[in-house]
Amino acid sequence: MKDKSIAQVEDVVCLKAISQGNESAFEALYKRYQPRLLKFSAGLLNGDISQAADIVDDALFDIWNKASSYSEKAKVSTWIFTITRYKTIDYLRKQKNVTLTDEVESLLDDDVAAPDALSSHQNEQERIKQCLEKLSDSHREMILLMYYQGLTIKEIAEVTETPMNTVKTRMFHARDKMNSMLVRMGIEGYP
Amino acid sequence: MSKNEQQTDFQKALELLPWYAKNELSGEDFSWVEGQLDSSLELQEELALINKQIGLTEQYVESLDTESFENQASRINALKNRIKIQNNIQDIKNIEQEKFKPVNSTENQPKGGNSMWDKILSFLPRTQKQWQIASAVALSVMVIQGVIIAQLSKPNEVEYTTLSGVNTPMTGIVLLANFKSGTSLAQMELFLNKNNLKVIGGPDLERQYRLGFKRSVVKGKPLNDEEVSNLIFDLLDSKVVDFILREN
Repeated sequence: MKDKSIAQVEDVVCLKAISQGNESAFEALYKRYQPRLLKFSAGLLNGDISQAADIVDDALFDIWNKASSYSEKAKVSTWIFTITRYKTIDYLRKQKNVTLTDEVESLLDDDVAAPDALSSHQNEQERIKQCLEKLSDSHREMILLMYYQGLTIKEIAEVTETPMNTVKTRMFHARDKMNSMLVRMGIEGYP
Repeated sequence: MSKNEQQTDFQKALELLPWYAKNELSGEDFSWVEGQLDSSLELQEELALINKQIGLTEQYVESLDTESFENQASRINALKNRIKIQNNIQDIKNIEQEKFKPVNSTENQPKGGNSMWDKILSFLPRTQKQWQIASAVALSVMVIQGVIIAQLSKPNEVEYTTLSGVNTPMTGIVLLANFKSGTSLAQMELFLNKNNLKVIGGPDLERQYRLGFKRSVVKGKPLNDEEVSNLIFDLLDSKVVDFILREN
């Protein structure tokens, strides 16, 4: 993977070109970020890739329009994730008509299928999918941003617009919940 | 170190562990967590679980079949088209804004504008939008005028005839009339009905109408010249008529 600081410089150059209407720069940025954003958004949408692709395109279109307003206070990647995250969450809210808070997390311990309830065809991957789907949106978001995208505490705080301490606490609860579900599911390595 | 402090450090280390596992901590925090790990079996077990979770999450996300949606040329082209459309709309808006600049702004003032021609020009629309509005107003006036004429001269072969009783107005007595300016359609209709008249032509460039008599006036006997002259005198007394005379 590219050194983060080099990537940031390249991103800033790219954004400046985009703000001047350079479509080639936009295409370059699209190619660099769309796959990552797609995975993040699709993960939040429980695997709805088609919808995620539309949302990501929409977010990148916003980036084309807002490129000139980017301030180097945050990294370009953080800024792009923030916009994509906002669009995805907005879609989720409209779909579920709920707010994204810890309070609305689905306390689904009883819903999580016990190992015996799963057919022999359901492999570990499907159980993990089920586990992530059962997490609340905010916890799933933490898991995806941290475990998959590898964002720092500060970056997650910026993307999710929450204080850094809240990020740490939320992540702690997210993985605690994930742990308990994985145990119930009988995932290998979990007692 | 007190028990409370130990507990606080343990909790802090627990919270930072995921970022330690992903190597996303600053040097200072990284070393501190490492120190905590050395002295805590519980933390080491927790780190193992976190690593397992990271692996499972990566496995899940990678399993999402996003590949077919990644960097599709068609998606990029669709976005570029969206950009082009947006740019076109913006261009149009810019042109409109440019043309809608206040009329009294300095740059729109007619230069050396004291001549009669300048004064006339100053009344003309200055922007495309203003031209459109002016044209629309002119067109509306023409349409309304057309409607007025159509209403006043609605062909009604059964009802309409001339004083002579002949169905074609050209062979009967035809009057030429100019109505006073400002006469409304209602006033005209009232005048025409009151005198059993109907518009059969006009107005021409001099706003002159051709009028004929309704059938009800005709009682089989045509008016003689004197009767027509008396009628015209009566009509001239009307408040809405400027002048009236016999065409034939």
